[in-house]
Amino acid sequence: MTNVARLVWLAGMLACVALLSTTLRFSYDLGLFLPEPTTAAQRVLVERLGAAPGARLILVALSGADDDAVDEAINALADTGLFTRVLAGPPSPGVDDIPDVVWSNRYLLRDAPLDAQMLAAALADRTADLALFAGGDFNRLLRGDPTMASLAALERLATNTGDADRWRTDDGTPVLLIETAAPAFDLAAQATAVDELRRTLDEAGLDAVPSGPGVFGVELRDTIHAEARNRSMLASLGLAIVLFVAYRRWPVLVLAALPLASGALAGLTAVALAFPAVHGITLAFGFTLLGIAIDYPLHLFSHARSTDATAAMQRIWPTLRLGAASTLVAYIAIALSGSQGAAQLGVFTAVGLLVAALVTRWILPAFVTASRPAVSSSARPARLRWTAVIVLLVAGSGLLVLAPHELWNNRLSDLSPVPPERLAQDNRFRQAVGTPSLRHIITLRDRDLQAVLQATEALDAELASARDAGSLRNWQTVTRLLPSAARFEARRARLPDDTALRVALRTALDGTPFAERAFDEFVGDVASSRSLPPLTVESFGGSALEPYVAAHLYQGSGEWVSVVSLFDVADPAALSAWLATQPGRPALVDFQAASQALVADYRGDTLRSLAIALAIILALLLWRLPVARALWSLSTVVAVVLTTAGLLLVLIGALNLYHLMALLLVAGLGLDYALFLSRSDDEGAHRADSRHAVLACGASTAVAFGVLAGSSIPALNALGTTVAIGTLISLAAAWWGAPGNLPD
Amino acid sequence: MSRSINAVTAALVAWLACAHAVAAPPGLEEKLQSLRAGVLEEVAFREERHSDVLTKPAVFEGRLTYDAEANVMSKLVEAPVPVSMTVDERYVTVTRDDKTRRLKLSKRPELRALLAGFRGLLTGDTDALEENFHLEFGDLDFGELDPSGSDATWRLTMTPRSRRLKKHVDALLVDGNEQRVTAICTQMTNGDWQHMTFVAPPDTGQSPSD
Repeated sequence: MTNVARLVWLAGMLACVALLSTTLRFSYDLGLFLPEPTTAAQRVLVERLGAAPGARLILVALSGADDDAVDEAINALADTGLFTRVLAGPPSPGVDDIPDVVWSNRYLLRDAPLDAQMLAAALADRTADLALFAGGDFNRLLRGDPTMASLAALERLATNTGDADRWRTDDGTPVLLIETAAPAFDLAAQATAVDELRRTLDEAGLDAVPSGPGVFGVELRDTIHAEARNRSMLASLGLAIVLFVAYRRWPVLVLAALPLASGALAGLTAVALAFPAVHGITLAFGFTLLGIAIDYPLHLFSHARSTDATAAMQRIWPTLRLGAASTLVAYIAIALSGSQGAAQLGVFTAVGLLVAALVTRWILPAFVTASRPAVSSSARPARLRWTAVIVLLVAGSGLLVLAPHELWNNRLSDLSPVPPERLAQDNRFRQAVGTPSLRHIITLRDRDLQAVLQATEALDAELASARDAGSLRNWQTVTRLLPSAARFEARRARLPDDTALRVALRTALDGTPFAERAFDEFVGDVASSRSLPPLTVESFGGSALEPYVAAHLYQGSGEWVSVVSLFDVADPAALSAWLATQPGRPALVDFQAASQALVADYRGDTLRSLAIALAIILALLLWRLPVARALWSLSTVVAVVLTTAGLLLVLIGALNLYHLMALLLVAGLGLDYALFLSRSDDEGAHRADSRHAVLACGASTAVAFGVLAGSSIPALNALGTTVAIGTLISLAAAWWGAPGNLPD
Repeated sequence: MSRSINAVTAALVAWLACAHAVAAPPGLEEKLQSLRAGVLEEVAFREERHSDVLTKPAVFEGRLTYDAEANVMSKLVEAPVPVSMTVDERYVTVTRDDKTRRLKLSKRPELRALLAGFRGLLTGDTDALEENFHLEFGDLDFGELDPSGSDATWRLTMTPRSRRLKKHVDALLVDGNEQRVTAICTQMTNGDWQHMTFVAPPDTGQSPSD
């Protein structure tokens, strides 16, 4: 039997490694972790995570740099080829910057008719230009686009109406706006770009502070790598010391890791097979929740101190199995609580836990040898005391009620590991540069692209009244580049024919020094514009304007969504009310409100699932255990969780999703402790072994998570603090509630 | 495209650093030093523009000003349309009918070339000139046959060094008499050319129409 088990285990692990080497892919799309959106605003939030208009932008403050130094930096950065835009101030588009798609459609990108009056005004302007400019570029533009329609189209995309030619923060520090060629989600390419950025600016002797999603992502990855490595080494060391003190044998250190490692490998393989990509958060939360599996071998080691390991396993297996089954129920509940991310987490932990328990049961005993002869002990079976449970229940509830905080923190940004002062700084830079609001957008949706574009055009025209009312400063729409087919065709129909254009041109040329022959290309281009097909989304593919179009128009949930980006929204309530009066159902999306509601929904879903899980676990315990022991165990767990939550609330304030996950682990650990310490058939040496095991489990968990509690990363800090406090309270509660004489 | 412009700007900056290695043609140094002594803060000009986009040469009149302290040049066109252009180290500011447009100098290489030439002439800075242009300096002796009717006695021919400048400008011909520049002819690569003549203020005692 043992041999068969070992073979199955070995083959299974090898298969996992083989499968992982081919199928494992990681994703960092936070959208996976959000629940099914229920409102239009939440839908936009989930659809647009990571694809916001400014996601590829890096803002760099160059404190103390003069204009020359800034210009040198710009040139050096532009030469790297890693950035599509490097700007120190609002761009003034030049002849070289006109994308082909804008040049060929220049007469169809605005409504003003090409008549004699317009041409006369344009040629008067060109005469004045002639006094100052000359050469190939000037002539080229004059010949092909005397009305400068192409440059006007590009200028309509600029939104910074200020006079300043350079962006500065309030304290006068120059700010550069840099757009990476690499997409925001490609962290490796972002890292290359950010490294090169830092190196170039460092070489230029500039004191540079870069900021932006890409920079944060890279810094975060580096910090997390460093922190995770250092903290896990420290935690492992702490764990090793605890285990050595508890068992005095080195092999134990390796054996203790076996079920956890096997479980993690199996869980990871299951997720990799069941989902297109494994989310980073799945791993982080998953390993935390799976941490309970480190306790399983410890129970075996403690009980195998006095007897043969196989016999010890047979004795503790019912309790171990019950604890694992209860935890499994809770983890499956998570899997069913909503988002794909939660499903991943559930699958990872459930499979991991199952495998860890099976490995402990069938593989481990063969490797464990008795460490000392059996000792006689006078320890009596546990007597369950309710005092501890009641005291903790009262204390925990009291803390929760009396704490001067909201119980839950709904701010999605608080889950972000980026320090708040960096986010505030980023916000300051963004204000200096005038990037679109990251909080508010207007969306228009329809299954029909043309309907969306027409509604956007109508809104674009009407928004001026909202601006005049002071609700916002400016806005950008996709239709400035991509008009609806109807509008495109209307403009096309309005273009004058050759004869009419020639007549208008001759009238306009009167009194100017320009020769009519210079405008042959212009007349020819207007003629060919009359047969151009309407612009489509694809028309902009590969051009410098592709990101603009992609940021303002996308397909989500089978609908086309037009995004109107907003600048300086002063009065969202008034804007929202005004939008309600507009046709085409435009909606003001407040990402902050939407994300708070989503986090609350997510937690609500998880808590509901856990409530159901609790009922199932109660039924399971009542089925397998005497009523008193079942009720005592479960209420001990509830008391521990309440007290831990209450203490956290008082000590650190409102709880977030990380605390919730950690509390879940605390509940699992607490249940195990309670179940083992309340074993009614334990007496003598066995009773002593159970207490030894629980003490070893508690100490090792408290040490390992105590190390994480010292981390500067909010997630690790929250997980560490919660589990360390919770473990100690669990230990105390179980110990106090199920007293027995200590071994001699 | 803008990347290549920036590359040129970077190259110009690099040249600034190693300009000392270049020796000026004989005689130029002294000429420029004497020109410098005669630098005027303001000079009236008349400019003819020749281009095949025009029916006949366009003529503009106005003043050029130079603030040596701030290194700011202005071209104030008074006729036929009032329009002005001020060039500082980085920007070209164009003002017409109280409306101001600002262009980055790096986007107007032909202006950059002109500017470098003017500045070098005005400040007598041979190095600055040599950085941007090949220089050829010689006496002019038109005798009775002087086609422009000017009293120029020397000519400095400036041909751009950088590929980017060469794309727009073939050469600048600077004509002068003693320590005074009398005319600058700019020959563009597309065949256009501009001829700008300067009228010295009366108190110098000299005038090209003498």
